[in-house]
Amino acid sequence: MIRMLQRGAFRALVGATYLFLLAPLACVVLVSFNGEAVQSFPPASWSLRWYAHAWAQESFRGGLLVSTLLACGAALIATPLAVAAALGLHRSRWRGRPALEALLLAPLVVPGIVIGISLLIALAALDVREAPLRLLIGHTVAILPYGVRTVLASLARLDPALDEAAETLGAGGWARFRHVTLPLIRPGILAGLVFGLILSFDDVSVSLFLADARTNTLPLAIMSYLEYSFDPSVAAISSMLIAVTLGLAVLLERGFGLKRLLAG
Amino acid sequence: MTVAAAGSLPGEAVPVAKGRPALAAALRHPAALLLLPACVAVAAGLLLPILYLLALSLNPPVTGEVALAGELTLRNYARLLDWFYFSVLLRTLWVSAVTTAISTVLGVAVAHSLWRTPPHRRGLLVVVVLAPLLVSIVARTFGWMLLLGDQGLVNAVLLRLGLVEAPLHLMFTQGAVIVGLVHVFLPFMVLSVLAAYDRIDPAIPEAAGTLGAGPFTVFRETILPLLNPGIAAGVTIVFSLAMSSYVTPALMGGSGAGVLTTLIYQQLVVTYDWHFAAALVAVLLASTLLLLGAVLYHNARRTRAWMTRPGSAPR
Amino acid sequence: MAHLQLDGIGRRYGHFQAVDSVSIEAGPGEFLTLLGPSGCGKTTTLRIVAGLVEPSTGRVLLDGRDVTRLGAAQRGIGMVFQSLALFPHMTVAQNVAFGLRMRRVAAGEAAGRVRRMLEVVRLGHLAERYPSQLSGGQQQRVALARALVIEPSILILDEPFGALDRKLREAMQVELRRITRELGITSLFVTHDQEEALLLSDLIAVMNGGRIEQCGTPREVFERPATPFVADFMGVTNILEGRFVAGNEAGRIAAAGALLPAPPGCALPDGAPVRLGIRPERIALRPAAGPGPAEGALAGEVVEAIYHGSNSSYRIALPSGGTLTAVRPNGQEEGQEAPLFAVGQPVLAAWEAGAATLI
Repeated sequence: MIRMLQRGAFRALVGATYLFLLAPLACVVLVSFNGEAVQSFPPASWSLRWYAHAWAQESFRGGLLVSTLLACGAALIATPLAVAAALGLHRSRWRGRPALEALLLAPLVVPGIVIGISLLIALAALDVREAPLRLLIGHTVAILPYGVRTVLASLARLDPALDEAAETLGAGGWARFRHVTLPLIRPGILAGLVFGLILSFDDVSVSLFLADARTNTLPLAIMSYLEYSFDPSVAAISSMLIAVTLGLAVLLERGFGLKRLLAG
Repeated sequence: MTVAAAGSLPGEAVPVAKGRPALAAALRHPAALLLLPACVAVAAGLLLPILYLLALSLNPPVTGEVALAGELTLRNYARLLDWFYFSVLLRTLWVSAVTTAISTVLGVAVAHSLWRTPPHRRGLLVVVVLAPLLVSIVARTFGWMLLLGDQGLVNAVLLRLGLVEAPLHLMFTQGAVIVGLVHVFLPFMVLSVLAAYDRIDPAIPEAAGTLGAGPFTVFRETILPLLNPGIAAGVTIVFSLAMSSYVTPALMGGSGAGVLTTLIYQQLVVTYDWHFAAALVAVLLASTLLLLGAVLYHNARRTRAWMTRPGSAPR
Repeated sequence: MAHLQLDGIGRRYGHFQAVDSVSIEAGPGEFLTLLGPSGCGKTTTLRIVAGLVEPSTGRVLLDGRDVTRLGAAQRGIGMVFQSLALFPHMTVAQNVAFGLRMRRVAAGEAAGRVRRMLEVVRLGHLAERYPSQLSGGQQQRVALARALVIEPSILILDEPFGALDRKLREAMQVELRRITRELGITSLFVTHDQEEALLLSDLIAVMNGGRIEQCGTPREVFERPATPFVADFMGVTNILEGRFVAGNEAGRIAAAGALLPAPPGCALPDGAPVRLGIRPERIALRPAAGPGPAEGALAGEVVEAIYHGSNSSYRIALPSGGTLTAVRPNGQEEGQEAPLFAVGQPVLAAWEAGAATLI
């Protein structure tokens, strides 16, 4: 009897937690199809009018452009740096290796808001005040360790004899990388790239102090919109954000799936 | 940078260009060349700015000034002793602690149920738990605003059921901030605890169950001790993330629910007191790094203790 | 087909001397095996020949040319790795063609050579498969074909059959013997399995602690081990210490309280200390008629008898303190129950003079 109660209480707790995790996301998507002029729940009628309204907002369109360019730029700069660094770390048997690894992974443990503020102040001291440049530097540094980590993980799975086999068959350093290492770590590189895109696109805390009125990211544009109005157009734009991220997440899953294919 | 001395590579005989020793040395160690760009990027984009910020926090406050001055002072840090600022610090710690406690209970429950779920059904549930992690924090916080607002779902249900006469003011409270933070950081806790579960033999609870223990007793006596490292890691991660989160307290907290990050924002953007803001950032950074450092140190010591334990297989 | 020569090769890792002044030679078309327990330096020696490890001292010569400072990519050596190291993202044909591609062999010619080499290893029909779709034995053949298609000066194999089960292992050994003899290629092979070494090699170098203990033909190493280590590694597990007693004809050896026949053809001064080695399967046992020693045999008592199917092994305690191990076939005749000797039974152990060796 007590056991059944315990089991029932446990199931209820877990079920409620799943509901808790999903409810706000479901809510956002539902509200975005609201047909009414004001926020109400549940919606009395359905339409796509708030998507049109969101699209008409200059700040959202501008923010979407900035966020997209920023995410692509940061991911495209950070990924080659991360791949090179991971290769360097993987090969080195030097005593200082742990220190370098700690340095490269440091942005993981420093809060985003700290990255943003220190860059803002340091660049201001150098009289650099261009928001696009500040944002690009901040985002590149913030997503770099994710790439290093995923590439290091796929390098660790490689049989070192593969490289040696290619060497005995006459392949030089570049040919070995191009024909053996690169194809085998490509899933890891792709996963790091996509993860970087997602993180950069969704970021608020790094961008918060680096953006300005003319160069604003989409999440920041939504936040400032929320400060003076609370209509379902935010739900519409948030639903679009959810869709974009989930789309990228599927890509990510496919990347990892490829990795499993190679391992098996 | 001191990367020029990186790894010696057996079997890497690169012809050396004569007369350019620095370049030649670097060429002999391709690892150094590979590491250089990323290390420069992190050093220039993170390490030096943070050092600059710490230096600035030791200068006397001058509104809007970012250049370093020669005079060193602890005046910016002393301001934290002012009751107003001190209460903000206490509130930040309190909110983070409650968030962490709730996340731990829920996270362990979810991880336990995932562990007990047969593998073929686990995939979808893991996606449900982890998907929020990938969704924009702004979108997630907005979802809570919809749920908890005066015209939100929770109030609508309560009104319809006749439990309340007028809508409750749920938004813009400390409670709302905690709910939002738990939602944002719960997946991290689940991930950490799941990592610990992966190392537990599924036969353990069954073995204990055959000895007549109830499910909760089995959990408390046999599983919980094995989860400790995972829970410790999750607690640290969630606590430090909660302390440094800005979006949720800014959007869901009221005027009386200010935390360290919103105070920093105020100092930087409203009052232009960059020196005081720098000191506040230093406090935030120090507390998160200390926490993470403690866990890393603890884990390293556990690992060492385990490796040197008598009777364990030497490796 | 080339002449391989190692001249005083040594390799030191910190304070650990992995390989210590190794000098060996393999003539054109010869099959040389480095045999020894794990950690004896055989794999490091092999990697030095391949150019994957630089020696601290000594030279590697191929056809008299010093290649010590040449990288692996320039040596033109075919190597089969312990893990096989097949490229998982390439088909069988692409794997085999890789070395030709690196040598910029024209595509048409390369395709022909790949096809011919796959015929040699009998894998022509699997050219478009990926390595993960092949069985263990098929993967071995791909690795072999990939190493051979570049027409290497020598072929190097690093315990390639370690992961195979016994049956497949024997089949692959026969296959490797056929292919290397067919192509007449100089081969350097590393293994810890003495049977494998005896089956495949023209020359065996037994290594221990980074040094070569003995180098010779399989027959020499098997029948006349030069050191106690080689003797033990080649299965000579009974070693008796004693003195040579000169006399007419062959002389005798005094050991374990008995006078034993000396191996034929040994001319030593009277009283010289000797070590006598006898294989367990060469020791004959018979029930002891009465107490006391018998001429040319050792008296003892069976302390352990283990049934192995077609044989039984016996451990015999000698009055002098040591033990002997003997392996005898189980009797086929009616009424004989294996094992033939019971624990506690007094027995006499003897062997033909030619069955023992001086070490």
